[in-house]
Amino acid sequence: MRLQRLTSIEREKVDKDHKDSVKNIEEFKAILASDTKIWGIIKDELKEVKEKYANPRRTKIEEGELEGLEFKPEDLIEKEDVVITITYNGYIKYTPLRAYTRQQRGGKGMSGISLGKGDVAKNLILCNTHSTLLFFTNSGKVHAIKVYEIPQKGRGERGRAIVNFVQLGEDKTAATITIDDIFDSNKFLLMVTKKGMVKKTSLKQFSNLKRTGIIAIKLKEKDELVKVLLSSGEDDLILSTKKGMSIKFSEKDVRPMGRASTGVKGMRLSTDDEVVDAVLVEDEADLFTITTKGYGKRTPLSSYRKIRRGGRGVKNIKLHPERGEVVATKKVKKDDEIIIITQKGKSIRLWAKNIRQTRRITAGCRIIKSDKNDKVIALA
Amino acid sequence: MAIEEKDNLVFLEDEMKKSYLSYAMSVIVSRALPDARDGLKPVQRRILYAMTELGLLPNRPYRKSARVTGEVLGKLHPHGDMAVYDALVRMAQDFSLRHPLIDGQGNFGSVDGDPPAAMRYTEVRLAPLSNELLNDLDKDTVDFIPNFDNSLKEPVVLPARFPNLLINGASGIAVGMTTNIPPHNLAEVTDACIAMINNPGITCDEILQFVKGPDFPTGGIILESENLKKAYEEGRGKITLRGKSSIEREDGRERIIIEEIPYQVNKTTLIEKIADLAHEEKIKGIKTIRDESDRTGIRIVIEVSRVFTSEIILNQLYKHTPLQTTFGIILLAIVNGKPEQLSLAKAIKYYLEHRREVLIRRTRYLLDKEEKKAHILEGLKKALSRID
Repeated sequence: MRLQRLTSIEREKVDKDHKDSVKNIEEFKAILASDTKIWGIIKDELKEVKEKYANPRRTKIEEGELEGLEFKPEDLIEKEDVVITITYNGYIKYTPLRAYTRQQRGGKGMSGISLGKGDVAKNLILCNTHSTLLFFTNSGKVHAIKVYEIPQKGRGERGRAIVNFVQLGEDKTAATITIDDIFDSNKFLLMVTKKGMVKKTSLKQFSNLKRTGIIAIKLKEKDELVKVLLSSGEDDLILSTKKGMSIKFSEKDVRPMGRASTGVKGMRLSTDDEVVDAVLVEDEADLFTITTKGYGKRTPLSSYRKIRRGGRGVKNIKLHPERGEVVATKKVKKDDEIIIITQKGKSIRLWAKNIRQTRRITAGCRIIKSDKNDKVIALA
Repeated sequence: MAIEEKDNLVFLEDEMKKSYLSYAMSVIVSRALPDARDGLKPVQRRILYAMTELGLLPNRPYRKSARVTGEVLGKLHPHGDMAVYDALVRMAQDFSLRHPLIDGQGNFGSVDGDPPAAMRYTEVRLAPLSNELLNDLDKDTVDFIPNFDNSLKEPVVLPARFPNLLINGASGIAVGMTTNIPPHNLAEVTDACIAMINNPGITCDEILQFVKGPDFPTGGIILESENLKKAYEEGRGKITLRGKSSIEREDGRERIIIEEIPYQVNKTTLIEKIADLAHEEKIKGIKTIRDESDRTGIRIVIEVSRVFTSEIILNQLYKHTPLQTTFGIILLAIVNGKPEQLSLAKAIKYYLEHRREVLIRRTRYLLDKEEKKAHILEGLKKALSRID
């Protein structure tokens, strides 16, 4: 360095720089000596970056959606009103209600199903795709399927056999009931067996239904389930027997029981007699009774006297050997239609009002002329 | 083969084992996995370093991507040019990185999955945030190693003033292991770092008070579950991510509007998938589907026919299309030259240790410099005092 340059340096500035320098050195040494200071600087630098560059969160985090991770079938299937058709030979289908166009009174109607030979529509159920359909078998088991699991078919199509969805095995379907999703409602199932037993069970007990079926009622030997009714818990019901007896009592007489129980005596039967059908009582409705030989009658439900359960009941119909035994009963109103099906596949459809209303103890009149070897088997 | 040459025989099994193992280690350590400290894979680090060397700072003009790629290839990264350019492009995509590290000009691709323009067309410079990664590089804060031909030196790691591993995330497939780190919110992660400085024994639960979960650049909705917590505790877990949608009603008609799609879901394929399902009637009730996205954001419109319920169609979309996806979190990164599956706490801890070392080295460097300066000043002072 030349002397000339040295002189041009200001002494004060050098002094100041030196002082700063010494100060810095001390500071750096202090930092190196203290962990707290190091961390302090790291923190400050992080804060600086945060202030300069941070922006609000873009992805939302939603809480309480734990079960939302898995969809239930109900979440994925449109809820739609449908008509389920079940035929006597066990074919089933559902058709959206939209497919049935509304007609004027007096219209001809449309065919709702194409039927195999000798088959007739037995059951027409209005419900929606989220409903559950319960099949009760004569051996006392109950199977459940969701309506959306039934094949959807057009109006004029036949459907598929129920055995394809429900493992019925050797059993036959005794009754079908639809329920709108809710199993915790205050409804009860009333089960009636051939030997006159009656059982009442809350619907809640059936919440874990399976396709393969669960026991709905424990049956005694040689007994069979004949009918299942969905009741409010305060209804009256009428049981009818093969030999023309009927008993009307309040379901309040029957205490609710667990699922796998036998039930209580509903009707005392004479030897060889058996219960064939049961209906819930409704005001202004009549009881229609039909015999194997095609004789039937219509009597107001009110003319049956209400007694306690377990009694013998009252006479429902006068029977002669040539007029056969009672096959089925049905609750009808004046404007209802009745379909009667015979073993040979014949069926007749008639208006309830075409049958004269009679008193309780009568023999009824001929409803369907049947051949010698034929007999009435069902009523819808 | 002659008998006397037998000594040179090598068994295939042994050779396979040896060669494959070294290949695997090479892929793991110096290709597919990010470093736990700066969250960068080697190629990314080299690109950023090369760009600083070229002086492509945020306040300078853009320069052709091809020049950057060439620089990286020629000086630091002896691999394919497309590999380098793809890495460069990804760092500029605002739908891939939560905070892009590169500021790009031109077509860098989009969520529709269309490809970026070739590197001769696009231009780049460093994004302002990259400064914070590179800062103090010249202050002897990190080790430098020779490049592939021993002609230059490159940094082993960057000083990284913010925890880039968690903020921008990473994904990579190595041999026998993969990593998939989701991006996070910068404010949340820095808060978590500060909380850990204040309380080094902080638990995962406490950290999760700050870091609520991943924060994807494409938005969406994370369905919170136990899995999320588990993923951060163990460094591995699955979370469910959904697009953001709403239902618009207008004189009896309903439409589903999708405004955000899950991270790394291709919008075009999503729409095609929905259209296919609607066509095959796997999902019923979709009348039309339109893509009304523009530069302000995504907007997919699905018109729902009258008799169907939008909520149910939406559920079906979640179930059958990538509108709902799962993101498998694997917090795998290189620690001390070895891959390690990190918990959230460990990831932050390793970052903070790195910062501490950087800071100590920087201070030492400054101290050293300052001491030299003081020495000269002292000499000057002495000379001045004797001049007169």
